[in-house]
Amino acid sequence: MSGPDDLERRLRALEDVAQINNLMSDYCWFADRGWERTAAQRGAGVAQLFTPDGVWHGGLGLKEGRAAIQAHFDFGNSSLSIHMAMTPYIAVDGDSASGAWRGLFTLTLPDNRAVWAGNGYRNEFTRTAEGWKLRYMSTVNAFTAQYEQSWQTKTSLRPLRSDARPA
Amino acid sequence: MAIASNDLRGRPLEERARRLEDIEAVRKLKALLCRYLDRGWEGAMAGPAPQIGELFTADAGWSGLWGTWAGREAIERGLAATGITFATNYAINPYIEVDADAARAFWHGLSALTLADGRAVWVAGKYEETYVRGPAGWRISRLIFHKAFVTPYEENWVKGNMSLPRVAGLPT
Repeated sequence: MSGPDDLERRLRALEDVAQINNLMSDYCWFADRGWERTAAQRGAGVAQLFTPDGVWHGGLGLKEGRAAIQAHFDFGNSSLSIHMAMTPYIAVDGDSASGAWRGLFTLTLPDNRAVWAGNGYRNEFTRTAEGWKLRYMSTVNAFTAQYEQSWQTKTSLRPLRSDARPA
Repeated sequence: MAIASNDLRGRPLEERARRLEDIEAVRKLKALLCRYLDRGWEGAMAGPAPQIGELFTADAGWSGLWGTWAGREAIERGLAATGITFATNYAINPYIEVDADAARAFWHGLSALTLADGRAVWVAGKYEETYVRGPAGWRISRLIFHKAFVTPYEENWVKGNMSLPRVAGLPT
């Protein structure tokens, strides 16, 4: 098929990819913490990128809905964090899309240890009246390594939350 | 930051195609800047890239860790005077918005540098940039770098937060 309708559809798919890339960059930006120009409204900023029933599924738990996502990111675990999402693979199908990224993080844990971490994102997006939103984000840890060590050592983030006793 | 308007339906196809081309042009402009600033490894350029000034408008502004420079000439001189012997520059998390002949973008930056005194350092932060379309294509009109950390490799971003030496953009 060719013609103006087909061209419109192809342009729209490319526009969607551009907007989804911006959405993922916004996620990283809002999720950052503790340095110059990071967002004051961290949890609210992340939550509004999700649909009202959106789900964030990571190593630190399963958060369903904007309120739970907001609380999770407002609580935080790190005094400094940088989220870097790379290697995008984005597939648009009408009003839905999926995307995979590889992430790299620098974190400062509550006990002041500096940590490198790497992960894989698998996300699902949906087109809404307010633009593309995250319907589901899963993040799978590849490595968490204390700065002075390497990715062969496993540094746990979970016991270092302030609601748990340090290991 | 707001997501750019999601609904471009009804706009002329030529305008929509051009906007997508402009986003790619901004992406390439940033990639070239990173490449021109890379040093000391296979594929990087031997010295300051002669074309680097061409990436900027004549009246461009640069506000970064090395200094605050006004104008293309000051930026060229400043970047040529940092004395770094090794650099890999990553521009990550592009957020790009185009509005006709102007554009802006945010990028996270991560760089591995060897300074003139031989120290290896990690640099991380965020670039805030504006661009304009000129007769010869898109150019950077303003670049601001917001620091997250600069740390010697042997330390980390908790123990070793440091500053880079300031470099004058023009002879004083």
